[in-house]
Amino acid sequence: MKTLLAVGCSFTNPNYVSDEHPEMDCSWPKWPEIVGKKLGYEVVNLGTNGAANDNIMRSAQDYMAEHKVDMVCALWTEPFRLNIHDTYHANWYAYLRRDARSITGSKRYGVKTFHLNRYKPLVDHIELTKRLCRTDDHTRVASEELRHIHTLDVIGKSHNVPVYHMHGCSLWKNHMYQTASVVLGGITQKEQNQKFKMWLRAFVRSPYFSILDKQTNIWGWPFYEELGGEEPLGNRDHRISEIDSHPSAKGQQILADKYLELIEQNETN
Amino acid sequence: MKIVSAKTTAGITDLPTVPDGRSLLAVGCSYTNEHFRSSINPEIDCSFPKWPTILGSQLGFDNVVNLGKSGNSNDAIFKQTQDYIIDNNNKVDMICVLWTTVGRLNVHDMSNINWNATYNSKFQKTAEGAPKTTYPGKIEPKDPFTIKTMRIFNLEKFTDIVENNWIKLAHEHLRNIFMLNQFSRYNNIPIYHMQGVPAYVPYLSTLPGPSGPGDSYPDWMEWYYPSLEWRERKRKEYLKALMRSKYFNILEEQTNIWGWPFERELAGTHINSEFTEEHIISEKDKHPNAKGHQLIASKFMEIINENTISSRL
Repeated sequence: MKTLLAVGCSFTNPNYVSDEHPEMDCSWPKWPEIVGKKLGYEVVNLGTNGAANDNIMRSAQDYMAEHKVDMVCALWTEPFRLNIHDTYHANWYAYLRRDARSITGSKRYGVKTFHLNRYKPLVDHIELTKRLCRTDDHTRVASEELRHIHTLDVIGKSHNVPVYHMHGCSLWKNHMYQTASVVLGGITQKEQNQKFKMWLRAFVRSPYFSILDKQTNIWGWPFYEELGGEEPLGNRDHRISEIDSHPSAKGQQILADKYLELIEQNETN
Repeated sequence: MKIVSAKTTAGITDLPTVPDGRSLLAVGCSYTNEHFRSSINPEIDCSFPKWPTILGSQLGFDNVVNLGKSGNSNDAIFKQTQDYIIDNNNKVDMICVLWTTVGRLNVHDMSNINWNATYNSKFQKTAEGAPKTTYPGKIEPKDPFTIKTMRIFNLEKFTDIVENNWIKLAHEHLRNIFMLNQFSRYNNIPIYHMQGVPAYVPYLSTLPGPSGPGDSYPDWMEWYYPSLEWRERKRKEYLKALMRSKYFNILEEQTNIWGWPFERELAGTHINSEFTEEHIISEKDKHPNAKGHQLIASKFMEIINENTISSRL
């Protein structure tokens, strides 16, 4: 039987449990299971809560160094996460949002953040945000994101295995600068817009962009609406709830459908 | 021969255009940095040719692209090489990598945290043989720049995480080598590897201690250092982790890695252990001097020749 290797974050995790709704049964089939069933593939699902894109890429590499797989599907995550030597996923933006919410009281920065208070953050999110946002360093993340996708493609090609990509969790958008402004202060709306434009420019100018732009194995490419791209879970109805944006059963089905669509298109071609 | 090098503060995209012709791409940390200046001995002129220039000249390359940067992490070495090749498609004819210590972390391509240089755990250790109490005085870090970059992290938590998981660094290191190897093969570019700064950093021996034979220990150092037995146990753990990594066996079969598997107990070596006093800048600054760079170049030459000859047979 052929094997599908699925990699990603909590959107992919087969054992996902909602922090916001611990009472909720979230055991509905996740997208890898649905795709595997439809294609008749055995599924290896390495989806892990909080995984950074670097972890996602490296988890596939580690698995493929020892095991034969026949297809890889990656659901990429938000870029605000750091892989600390394969031992810890530091989601520094979650803490920034928590701070913004406590300053403004606004739900736009997330509703329930109590679980973050259980742990002392590893990354000093304020210091890191300062360094990223008060200089042009934030634009480096753009190319970093695309490099992960390309690297996984190279891994797949080196093993002669098709790889399919989609972006699941949120992208780096203007909200990053809005949140930074609330917490750090001093970033005007105009500057926020300029910074995001700068980020998008870095994304398009990345040497990896032109390579990925020619590929047909990425659903929704180049992800950003502003660039003609698409995210698979635009609709709020496809999420668990107002306060938990993870895909619901319907959302998982949609993710699976998009992968199947992409796979079929590529196999037909 | 044209030499194009990364400035310490510049990203690789700021590199000038490389003229046409055959190019050697060299990557690494301060051991490779074309612009290296000794912070310990600023009076010493370090403008001698670095190993990429020597090697490029010996091999008859038209261009040498040197991406060596002080403080570079292995992750950044891997990613910078990848970026350069993607950006300069078909313009690289050989890659030589001088890998660095595993105790550095790449933060969003923005900076490399040399946490082993700042590591000043004052927290109680529970492992047998390790210090049991908190040092009452203040441990002064040696490197203010690194301390500044380390502010990104909660040092206490970072320390805990690394202490509990540090042998994973062995696997991570081998994977970086494997992945860069895979990438260069994918792009049909020959690649050669060597370990420069020792990879292994038993975390407690990375305290800001003496940097050379002439340097004296701070007064807390004797108090702090764990027992020899404890350090040996830690080293064995690291070596086991190295051998158990799934990449060990793959790299073991390759012939393009000088000194493999880098550790003396496993019959390997790294360039640092080949240095005598005549190869380093000073007693305090162990970076390679002019002779040291010649030695590195000669070892790369050795392995390149071995591989070239065997490919012709």
